[in-house]
Amino acid sequence: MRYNDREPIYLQIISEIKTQIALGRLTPGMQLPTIKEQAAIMRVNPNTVARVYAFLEQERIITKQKGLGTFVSTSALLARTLKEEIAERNTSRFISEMSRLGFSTEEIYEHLRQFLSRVKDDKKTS
Amino acid sequence: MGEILTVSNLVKHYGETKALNGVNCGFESGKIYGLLGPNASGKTTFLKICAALIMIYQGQVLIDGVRPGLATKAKVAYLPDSNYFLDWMKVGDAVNFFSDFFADFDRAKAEHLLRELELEKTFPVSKLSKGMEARLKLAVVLSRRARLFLLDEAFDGVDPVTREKIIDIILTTFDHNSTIILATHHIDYVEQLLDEVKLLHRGKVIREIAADEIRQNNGQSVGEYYLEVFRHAKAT
Repeated sequence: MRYNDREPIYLQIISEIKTQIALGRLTPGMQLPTIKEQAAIMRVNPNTVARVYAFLEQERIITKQKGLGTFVSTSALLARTLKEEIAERNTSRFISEMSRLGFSTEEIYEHLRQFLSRVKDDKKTS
Repeated sequence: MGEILTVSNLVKHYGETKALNGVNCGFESGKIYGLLGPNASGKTTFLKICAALIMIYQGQVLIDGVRPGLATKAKVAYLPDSNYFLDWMKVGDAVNFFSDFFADFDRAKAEHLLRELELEKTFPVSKLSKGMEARLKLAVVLSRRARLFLLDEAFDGVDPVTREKIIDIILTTFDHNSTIILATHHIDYVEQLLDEVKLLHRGKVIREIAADEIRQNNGQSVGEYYLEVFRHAKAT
C-alpha cells in the first residue's frame, strides 16, 4: 500500500480496510491478521495498526474474540453500509469541488449526465 | 507504559563547543521515535551517551532507572554511524564477536537476517560495499533482544531495495517491550515507521510531537514539518 505522507496513516489504513470490505475482498467473519502480521504486511508501525483495530472495533466493523483473534463483523449489512459511506464521501468531494468552481446544481447534473452518456457510448464502440 | 529512557538537563561540551545544551526528554517503552535534526545538532553525541560510549557529561540520563554503564549495555543495542568491525574479520566473525559479547544475542535471528540480507559468512568485512556494510551492522545489532535500540543513520549509503528490507527487519524486531530511536536525515524513508518525533536543534530538543498528529493538524508530512521548523529555527 502506498501512503500519502500528509494524511494520518491510521486513517488511510482504516479507509483501506473499509474499502476491502465494501469490495467483498474481506468478507463477514473472515479473520484479520494479528497486529504484528498486519504491520509487516502494511509496512507500518504496529502501534498504528493497534490504533486502526481499536477504531474499527469501536465502530463494530471488526470484533476481537479473546484467544481467537480479530474478525470482520458478521453483520450482513456491513459491506453495503461501507459502500454507501464511500459513495457519500466521493460524491461530497465531487460536489464541493464543482461548487467551488462556481457550477450550479443544474450545471453539475448536466456535467454528470453528459459524462456518463459519453462513457456509455465509449463502452459500446469498444 | 513507562519510560525506558529519561533525560534531564543533559549538557555535553567538546572544549568550547556545546554539543548538547540542556536536553530534556523521555522515551516510552513500545514506541519508535525519530530523532531528527541537521548536521551537528547533537544526535550522535546524544546516542553515544545513551550507549555508554561517552561517560563524561552534565545532567542526568536514566535507562530503566539506571545511569548508562556496563549494566545498561546489556539492554541497549547501538548502531553507530561509523564502521566498527575489524579489518581481519569475515562476516561470520563479526556475528561471533557480537554473539560472545552480548547475552541477549539471538543466533537464530542472526542466521535469518544474514540470509534475508544476502550476507555470506565467509566474505571479508573489509571488502564489503558501503551498502553491504550497512546491512551487516544492522543484522548484528538487530539480532539482539535489547530493550532499547539506538540506530544512528541506519539508512546511509543504502539503495532502495536495501532500504525496504531494513524497514521490514526493523518492523519485525520491534515489539511492545522494546523502543527504537532512529536518528536520521532520511525522514522520507521512515515516515510510516515513526510514532513520535523529537527535533534536535543546537543541542536542544525543540519539538516533541506524534507523527500522525503532524499529519492530522498540519496536513504536512513529517519531512515538511521538519523543514518548516528548521527554516524558522535558523532565522532566530
